[in-house]
Amino acid sequence: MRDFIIHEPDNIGGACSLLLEFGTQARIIAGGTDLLVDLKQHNIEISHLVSLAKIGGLKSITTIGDEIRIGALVSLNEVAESLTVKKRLRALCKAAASMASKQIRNQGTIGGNIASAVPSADLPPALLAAGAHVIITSGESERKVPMSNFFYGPRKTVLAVGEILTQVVIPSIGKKTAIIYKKFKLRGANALAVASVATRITVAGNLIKEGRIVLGAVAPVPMIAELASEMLAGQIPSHNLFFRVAEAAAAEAKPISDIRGSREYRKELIQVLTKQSLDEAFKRATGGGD
Amino acid sequence: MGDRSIKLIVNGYSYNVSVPAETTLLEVLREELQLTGTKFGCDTGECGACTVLIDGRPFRSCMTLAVEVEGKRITTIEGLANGGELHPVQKKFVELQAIQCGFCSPGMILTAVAFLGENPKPTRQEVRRAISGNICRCTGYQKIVEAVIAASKINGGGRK
Ligand SMILES: Cc1cc2nc3c(=O)[nH]c(=O)nc-3n(C[C@H](O)[C@H](O)[C@H](O)COP(=O)(O)OP(=O)(O)OC[C@H]3O[C@@H](n4cnc5c(N)ncnc54)[C@H](O)[C@@H]3O)c2cc1C
Ligand code: FES
Ligand code: FES
Repeated sequence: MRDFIIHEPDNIGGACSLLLEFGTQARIIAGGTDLLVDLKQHNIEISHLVSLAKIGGLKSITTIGDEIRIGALVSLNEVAESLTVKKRLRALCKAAASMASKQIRNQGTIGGNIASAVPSADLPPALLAAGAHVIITSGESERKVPMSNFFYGPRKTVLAVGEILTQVVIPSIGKKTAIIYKKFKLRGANALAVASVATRITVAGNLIKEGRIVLGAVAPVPMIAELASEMLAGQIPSHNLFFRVAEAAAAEAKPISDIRGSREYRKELIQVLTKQSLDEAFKRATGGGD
Repeated sequence: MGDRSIKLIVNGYSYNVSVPAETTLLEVLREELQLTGTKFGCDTGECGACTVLIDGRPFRSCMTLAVEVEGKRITTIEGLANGGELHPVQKKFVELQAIQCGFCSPGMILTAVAFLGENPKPTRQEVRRAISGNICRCTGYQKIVEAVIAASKINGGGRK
């Protein structure tokens, strides 16, 4: 790693001013599990790190009514094990538990997983399916950005210089609704997603009221498969419907070929994972399953 | 860009070191404190050879900047034995030959110790999951799992 200065401000305002002062020469460090790899491999060369570790208020999971607020510095293991999250959005706990290793999960944060904007990141799909938003602060003002508008491209987000992601807000999920996250990886542990799908279904009577299908690792950003999602609204649930929706999701995916899998293979995976997640989500939304 | 003075608490002892900000905890342990039991493997968070306990929980020391753990309680493999008496997990690794070259052992043992602290009576499947972030390239995992299970049956298998 090239040499840098590390700043450890104890309040958000201080962190934002440091980020503004040093501009492109500065980076935020949370758990460091993404950043240190980039620094060691010289993918990023900067001379200032702004650590969030000493800032209070970013490390807790709280609820306001049915809404859950997760501080940016909450670790992946804390997300995986949180009873509050488990009760309302179990898919997020499962996604967090599927990541990396125990050691990395103790260190990596939810904020870092979102802000690093890696296409295969595990938490964004479930968060998008849940309709979550993030709170971003510049020190002076705060803004609220839906997760669906947060990403621009691989490692590109709406975060401007001097801004910090402080909270992830998950709205009330509502009754008769289930969200399921499915990830395909090459090993049981320490493996990134080759493809992933988060599916949300709300049922009303005998019909599906609405659905949303989010795809991970198969496009420059985690993407909502809009056409496939629309096919669910107002329909009678059936094996055939879910099969066609899964085919549509695979058609919408825009994967690349890389070391973990080819473009064609990823499209196949999306079809299989979408079908599986629809089946499970439907079962859960109607009160069956776990 | 100038060194930073930091105070680290390792295995109950307090050390003052002066290192550049980009120094990892792994580098400080091995090169400043000469605690070479913690191994330098992949240096990118993948293998687990550099695992140490920070406030009792396992972390990758290669992915941790030393300045970020100032004041926290760090345990390395050198800090597990109690006087001359090996920790039960260490004893069982030796007895059941869960060590060949030994490169993965410090990280594996510390991971197991932290795990037994959380789950003192694990099943084999739970042990497998617990050590899944630590790669062993020669013993194979069977004997390691057996050693952790055997340690869990000794009173104090969870002591750190
Ligand atoms: C061995 C290994 C395995 C991994 N496996 C997985 C996996 O299975 N799935 C997966 O999704 N990821 C995986 N990762 C990636 C990484 O661990 C996670 O993405 C983690 O959540 C990143 O969080 P962090 O706090 O460590 O981020 P950092 O490294 O601290 O930061 C990452 C980026 O986000 C920025 N940032 C961090 N926090 C904020 C904030 N609050 N506001 C604005 N910007 C911020 C930083 O400036 C940096 O650019 C793995 C990494 C390693 C090393
Ligand atoms: S040396 Fe740290 S995980 Fe491999
Ligand atoms: S004993 Fe050699 S790597 Fe595990």
